[in-house]
Amino acid sequence: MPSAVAAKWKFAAPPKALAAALAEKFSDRPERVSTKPVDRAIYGRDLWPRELLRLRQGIPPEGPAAIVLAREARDVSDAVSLARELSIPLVPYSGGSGVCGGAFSVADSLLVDLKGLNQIRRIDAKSGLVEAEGGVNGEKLERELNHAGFTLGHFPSSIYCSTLGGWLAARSAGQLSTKYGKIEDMVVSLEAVLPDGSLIRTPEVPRSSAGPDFKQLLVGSEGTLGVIIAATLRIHRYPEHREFFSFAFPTWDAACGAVREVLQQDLKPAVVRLYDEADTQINAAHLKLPIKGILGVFVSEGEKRLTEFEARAVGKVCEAAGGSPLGEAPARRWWDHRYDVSYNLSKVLPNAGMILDTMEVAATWKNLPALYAGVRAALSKGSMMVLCHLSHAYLTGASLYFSVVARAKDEASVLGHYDGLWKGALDAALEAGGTVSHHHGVGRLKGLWMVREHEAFQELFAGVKERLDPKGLFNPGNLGLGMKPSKPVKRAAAKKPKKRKA
Amino acid sequence: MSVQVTSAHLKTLRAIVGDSHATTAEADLLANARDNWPQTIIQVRAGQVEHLPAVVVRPGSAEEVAKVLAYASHRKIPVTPYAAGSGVCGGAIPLQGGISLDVKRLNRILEIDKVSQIVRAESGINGEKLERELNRAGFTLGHFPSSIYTSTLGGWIVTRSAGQMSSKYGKIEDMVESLEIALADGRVVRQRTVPARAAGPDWRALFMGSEGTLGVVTSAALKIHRFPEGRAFASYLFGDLHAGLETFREILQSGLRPAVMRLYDELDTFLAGSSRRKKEGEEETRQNPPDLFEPLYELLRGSVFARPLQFLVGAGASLLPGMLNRVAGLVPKQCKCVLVFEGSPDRCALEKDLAHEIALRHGARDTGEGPAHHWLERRYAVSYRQQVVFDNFAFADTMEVAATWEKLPRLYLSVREALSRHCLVMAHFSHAYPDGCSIYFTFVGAGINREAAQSIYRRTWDEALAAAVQAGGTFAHHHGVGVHKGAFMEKEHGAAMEFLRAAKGVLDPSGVLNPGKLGLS
Repeated sequence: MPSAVAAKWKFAAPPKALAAALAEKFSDRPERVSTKPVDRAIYGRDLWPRELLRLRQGIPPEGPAAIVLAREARDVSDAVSLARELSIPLVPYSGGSGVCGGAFSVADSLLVDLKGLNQIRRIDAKSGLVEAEGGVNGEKLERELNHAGFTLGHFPSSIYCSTLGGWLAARSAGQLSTKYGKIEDMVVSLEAVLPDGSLIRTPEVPRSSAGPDFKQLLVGSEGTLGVIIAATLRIHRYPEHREFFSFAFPTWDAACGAVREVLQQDLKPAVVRLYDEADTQINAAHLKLPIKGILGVFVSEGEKRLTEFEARAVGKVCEAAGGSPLGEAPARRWWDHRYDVSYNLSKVLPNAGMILDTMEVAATWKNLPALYAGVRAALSKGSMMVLCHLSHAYLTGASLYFSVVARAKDEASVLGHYDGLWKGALDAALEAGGTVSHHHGVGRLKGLWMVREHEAFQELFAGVKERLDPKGLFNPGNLGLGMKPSKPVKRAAAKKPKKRKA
Repeated sequence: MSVQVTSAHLKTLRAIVGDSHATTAEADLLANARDNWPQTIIQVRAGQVEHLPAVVVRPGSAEEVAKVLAYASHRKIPVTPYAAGSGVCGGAIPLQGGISLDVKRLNRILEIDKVSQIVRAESGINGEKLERELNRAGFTLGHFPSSIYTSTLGGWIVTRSAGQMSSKYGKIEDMVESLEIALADGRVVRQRTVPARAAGPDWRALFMGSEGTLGVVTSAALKIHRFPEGRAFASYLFGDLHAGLETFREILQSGLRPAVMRLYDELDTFLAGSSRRKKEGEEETRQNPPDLFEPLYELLRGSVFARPLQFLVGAGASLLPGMLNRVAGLVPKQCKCVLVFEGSPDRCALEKDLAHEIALRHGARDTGEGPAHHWLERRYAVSYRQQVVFDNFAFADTMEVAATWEKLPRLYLSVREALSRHCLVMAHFSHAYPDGCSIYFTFVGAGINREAAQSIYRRTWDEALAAAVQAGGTFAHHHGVGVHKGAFMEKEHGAAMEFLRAAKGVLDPSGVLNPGKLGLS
């Protein structure tokens, strides 16, 4: 259906000044520029479910006016200088798999598609580092590393449709983060184009005390402070051994207590996942196993004797917490299906009024029970089903991943219903002392709550942004920049769509 | 360019912190006039104090810190934060006079959250005190800089300090969960403590390493670990540095995390061996030196630094570094390695076994547990005693650089070469990571008079710092930047310094916060 709708959309011709400037700047590589309506229709949004709902309603995206298909750093620099000259917004784009509207194109913007910047530049086997360009597809990067005997250890469920640069810009986490960390723990050095057009490369050193670690300001900036061109990341030897094991715990609290004990005994299994009662029953149905209580799946990997030791030690903790061993099957089944979801997100929304979304929050162990109860209660108001699993565990806390299915009373009220669900849940996450995002990022969806989460530090962000990008051209509307907590502003995406009938 | 601190200013400051906590007594001003930067020690020996604060202010709460900052910002009075004064790069020197803001009264542990394993403590707390209190509660921070008796939590954070067990527990920036900061606009702002997040840039990273140029850290929440149930010790001798470093790399890249990993180059091995008490039944690790070396050996034994300096100075310094380094080249070709493992007894035993196999594969000779035990007993001995070496026109200093494993040999050779032009040099490797390692150089030099000593000191540093950046390393692994290394910030960071300048513009519009540091003009 969407493709049929999109074929009917008419886009205004891009502004003449932009078309002329692009033609001139890219005269030696005209194939790297597109103003075709079909491209503009496709690049106008990412996988934010709210935008998919709008797509279902046949609403065209606002932008972009033109697309630069970058293949080298110079294409990005040229696009940046052009955006500066013409004072038009610049939106970086790669896999388009973000779920918060971070790659949303406002009207008349210039979009830079980074997927052509996809070279794996170097594998430093001695130091255990890989240097790759930001547009490289996640699965491709991992596969090349595997060929060389290494793993990055980063496995978001979107790995087939997301990129290295997107991971870094949104502070992504993979399914094996308990062992390997989040993407911000893996990155050693960044190459980026700043809003003034300068290309920076942060030092490639293991650790430093030479002033602040500036790369951590670009990581998570979602295109508002710079465009990531390339990065150097730590890699690990491909694990020589893997252990799969599963437990059923009597209660959610007992299961969370076991995971906390595991982490605080300094054990770091690669995969730690707990499913709450509702989610456990769905898993049990798939497994055709009667599982009572809370399902926990675990995977340990690495050097053989360390892995065996770890699996034994984790098993002891689980049993001490009242867990009954379920063997390898549930963990292996999870492993085999671990990338099934992300691809299918858009397909599950065909029916009018239906809403499906996911929410990932995190808190310290002390605040985790309140976070679970608060967010679950908020999401349960106005939804048909709420599932939760704990998917990333740390010494000091954990993240919770909620999946929610809801139905608005009709298609006309679906966006309002959607916004209401999110408002309640994000309020609850902040109320419980948690963060509004563990690994999906902020984009447009959570901007207002980002302001409330960071308070004075958001003012600092706005101030730094103002100095580095005085005209606010880099990915405007993202990360709550320009929003004030006291009087909520209307979100950009909530604006009435402009009719662009020719 | 700085504003005079008048009696009216003093009156206001006293109204904020209390009469007894804003002092202009000469002894207090002198005490806060410098830190442990060897250059200032040379100057003090000559009776010189270049930069004196006008007043030492000792706030008792984060709110008082913020009020002092707001007042200073309004009146354009420079403020240099000060805690234990153990920094070695001049970061706490009040270059423009004004206020020395001493945070040592902010010394409370605010909360130990045993469920989340997070401690919240004020920034002026002494490091050893913090660790001791955590130990009583059954925990450890895992941060053990050799300065632990003379440094503070806040100092660690703003210089991105590393402890001796960093291979297992990380550097301080890996431990910090959230910060509370007093800003120049008079506010105290605190970050939410969460285990991880994807909500924008990580503002902790901006303040860690900012050395008081953007605000004053007043408290922090940090990860803590259960006090280890057990420890295991191992020591080895390698035929050369390369074999030892390859062992380190292999240990870390196979997933092992010893708490302590130390490897000493030939001269450092020799000197450490010569001052080591031999224990009953313990294997002899130091071979007898060749006859030619006996006189130098006699000079060097005892205190690590004192005697060779007398020798250097006594013999007329300019020709000596090259000769001394050549003579030092005659020490036995062996490199000492010390490993300590922490955790459950099972885990320690397994990690030790695996590391042992790796070491033997690289030709190591097992020297038993003794040297590792001995190191642990004496691990804080250096920082206290450093000042004794500054006799006459001599100096001793340390330089900590780091690089990836790929670049490490080049970093070692080029920095060593740069230092050797002017000084007697030795090195050890004490913070190793899966992707690289730091190198800790110790060097001693001298001039025929004070001016010559100072000029040789500066030249030594400038050449060695340039060599570190040139070799693709960082010029500082854990001592920070201060005023000493400020000129090299631009060289290492390039245009990324715009982030620092932008933040400085936002947070310190009147430019009063620790002026002259971190390469900010």
